[in-house]
Amino acid sequence: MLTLLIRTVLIYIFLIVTLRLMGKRQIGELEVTDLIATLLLSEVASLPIADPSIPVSHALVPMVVLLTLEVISSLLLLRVPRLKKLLSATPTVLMEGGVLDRRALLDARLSIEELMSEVRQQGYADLENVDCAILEKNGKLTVLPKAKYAPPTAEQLGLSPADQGLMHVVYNSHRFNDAGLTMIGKNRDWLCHELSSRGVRLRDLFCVTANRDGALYWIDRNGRGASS
Amino acid sequence: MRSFIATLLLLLLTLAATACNFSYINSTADTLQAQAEALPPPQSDESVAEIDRLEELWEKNVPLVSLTVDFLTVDRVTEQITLLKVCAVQQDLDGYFSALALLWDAVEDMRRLESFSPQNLL
Repeated sequence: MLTLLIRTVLIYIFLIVTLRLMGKRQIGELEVTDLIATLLLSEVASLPIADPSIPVSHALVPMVVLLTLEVISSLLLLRVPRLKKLLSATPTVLMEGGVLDRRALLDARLSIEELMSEVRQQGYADLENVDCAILEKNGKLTVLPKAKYAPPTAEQLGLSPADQGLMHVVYNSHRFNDAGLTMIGKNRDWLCHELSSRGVRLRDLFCVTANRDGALYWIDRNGRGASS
Repeated sequence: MRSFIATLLLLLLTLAATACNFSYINSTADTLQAQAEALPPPQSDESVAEIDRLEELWEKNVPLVSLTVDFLTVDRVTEQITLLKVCAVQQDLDGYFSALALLWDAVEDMRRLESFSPQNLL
């Protein structure tokens, strides 16, 4: 047990260093410490399951140690900014003002083709359209287009459309969704009344969504949608 | 903060259990080795009775030892004690001393997980 305890700490530290060196592209949405704890926990937990000759304590002790390390490291990351800088990735600016930072690209180990691919996935045809490109700490690329390539906003067009509000499913597969109705502050009677006033029979519908303002959208049994 | 305190308590419990286990496994190994070392020669009349006492001591400790020592090691100790007894009854001197040496090794293996050494850690 004593050896297991020390081994767990050693492997945890070793994995943190390894994953930090691997860079943010391998990490995804998790912090390095979270990822390591997740990886190790799943492995350690399976040990006594896969091999009955191993006592359960051989999994429990490392799991408690991992849990403690995870909780302590997440607290330390919150309270000690220097440590956060050391253990967590920071966003990398790859392009700013339309100028590509080749050193940053090299540091992020991204090729120009990969950058182009990411930019295309964001809906821009070429790097020429891009004002800023930032590789976020979760490994995703944020692309801010140049003003002349950005889609115009309603404000820029001088329009003032009303906010639609969040639509909730209120009826689905011949069943009322009371949770959805409650969220928009309505009830079953309101829904039946609103639909019948529009000449729509509930039994002909597949699903209905609605918002707080009473806007309705429905899809009938044939998959055709309509709104009011 | 509540989860942090709960985690720390859990860690303290684990550390306490580890410390107790460290002391328990080492003392059990010491007792077994001391008793094995003090076994009379197999030709002696008391030999089988002493091995029985050693077996009794081991069987008394097996349930607790098995909580933290892998079953293969536990089974090795059990097998060597049985073999020791068989060899003593049959007056097989070579087999007896071989079983005694293997018992010693098995007990050392049991102790290994509870001792500090670079080989263990790495």
